[in-house]
Amino acid sequence: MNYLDLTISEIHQALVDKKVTSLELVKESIARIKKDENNSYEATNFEKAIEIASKIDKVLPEEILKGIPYVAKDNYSTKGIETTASSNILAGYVPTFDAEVIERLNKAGAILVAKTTLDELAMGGTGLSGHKGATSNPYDKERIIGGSSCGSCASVAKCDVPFSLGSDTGDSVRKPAGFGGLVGMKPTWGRISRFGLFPFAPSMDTVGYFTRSVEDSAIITNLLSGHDDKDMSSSYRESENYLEYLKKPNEKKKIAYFKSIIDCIEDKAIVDNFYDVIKKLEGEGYSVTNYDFPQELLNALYPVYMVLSCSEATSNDANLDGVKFGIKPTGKAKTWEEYMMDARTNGFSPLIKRRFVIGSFSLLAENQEELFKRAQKARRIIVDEMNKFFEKNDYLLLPVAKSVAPLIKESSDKWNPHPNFVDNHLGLANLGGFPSLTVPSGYEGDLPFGINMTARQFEEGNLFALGKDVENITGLKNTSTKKRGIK
Amino acid sequence: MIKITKKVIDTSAKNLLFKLTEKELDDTIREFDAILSQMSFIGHIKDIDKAEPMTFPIGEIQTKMREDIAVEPLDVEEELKMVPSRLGNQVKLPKVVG
Repeated sequence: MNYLDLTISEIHQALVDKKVTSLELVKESIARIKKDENNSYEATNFEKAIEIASKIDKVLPEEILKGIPYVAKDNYSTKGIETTASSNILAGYVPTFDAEVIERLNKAGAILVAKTTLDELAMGGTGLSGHKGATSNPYDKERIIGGSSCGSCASVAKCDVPFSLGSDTGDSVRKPAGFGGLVGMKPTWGRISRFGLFPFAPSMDTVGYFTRSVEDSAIITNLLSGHDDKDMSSSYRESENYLEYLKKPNEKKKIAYFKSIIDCIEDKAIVDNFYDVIKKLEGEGYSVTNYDFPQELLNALYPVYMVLSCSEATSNDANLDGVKFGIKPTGKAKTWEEYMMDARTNGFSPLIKRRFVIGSFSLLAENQEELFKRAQKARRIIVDEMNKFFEKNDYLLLPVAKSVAPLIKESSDKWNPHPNFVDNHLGLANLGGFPSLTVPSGYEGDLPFGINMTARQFEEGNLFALGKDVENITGLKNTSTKKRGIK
Repeated sequence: MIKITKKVIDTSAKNLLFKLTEKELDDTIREFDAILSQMSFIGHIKDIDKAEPMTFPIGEIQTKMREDIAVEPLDVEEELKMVPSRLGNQVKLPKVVG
């Protein structure tokens, strides 16, 4: 056993007890990152990480993250470290400031070791579209780990670090967490500052993170939540001590699920596991019922998400023009239009260009009412229905995905014309700004799958309490490829 | 709504300041077929056009004036370490015109 294979709270105790040093942890993390075979990393911060770790000779019990290595998705600004969001358009861009969450982690003494791969500009769900190619699943290299936070998920799943930062606009932390056997958290929109997180679709973007236990997820939430003046969408609500929710019985016990989604899942192991967990939760005093969420609203989830996210992205990424940062065209442009055209044509992949065209088309004055505005209206109706759901229920519980991680050769980010709510139900939490947590719930062979739970806005504490109860039921805490014996 | 044609897509791409290859144009047209098919599902929602559009998921966004507190700016040398090209103590931008 290596200390790096433990959870944050266990590593912290070992640091306090001087059973291991931060330098040993960082060196082991670097050694593992150097052996990465999943294309998990964009950039490294080894020298600085060793320098910081070398200076740590004592960790106090209250310094829970001090000396602990972590990695961050490459769409967080990191001062002095090239940050490309896995896109050629940002090649060579070195930010001059740290994102708020990076700064908070720095101040807490956590040590950034590397930046991780993502779907280009976080606009994908497979982990296949980054400029360095596909990021694979450490449980089976022929399969996806999911996206867009692919590298961050792979890194924690194989114990290169005990936690990582991702970001979640549609399900970009919570779905990979299911494919990687991890705990993946998306907090309430506004709970954690997004200052320094490259925007994709700001009305839905949130900071997110991967850990190997629910307790660790609560630890990270404790540190990162709270108002930040630099983010106008940051909430002024007081944050809480989320660890306290894990020390007492959960007071909110009403769970509901959408049977219409479960009935569309053909993978018997996932369905059986889900109903088994439900039965055991009932044994713990929870009530669990079906909720008939209108089918037409489920069918609308995917197009609403895609139209809104593409439209917002088109506008946000207009500043990626090759002048202010990133790629420098090699041709001989005669006008500023030619210069930017050269940079953007060569800097974006075909997938991103398609998404921008879709967004731009939806925003054209002639189309806006029928596409963009209509999607915004549908969003309102969907979220109103979810709020009605939360009048009667405390949590929505569903399997994360309809299958274990798909094969790379069978995965694609292309649109399909058919109703696709089973693959996109996690987006409900983004449309409504609700906190949402994925925890591991089982294995099919050696491939993990998970359960996702969503709660009312700002009820992260109860969500962690439910997550902990599920974790106790399944016994799947601190799961990893190492623990599973996968090399 | 404007009818989707290759010309419309091409113009849209040029307005976005990038070019699409013939293959990219064809792929985009195909994707639009799927999008419009998906958008028809939204049309099935009862009273869709009476709903108030939702821009942000939380209604409590507050904008307040920040305190006017002076802070140290980034050191020039530190900043210049991060740029690909410099001229003296200034950031050298690429030549854009001519």
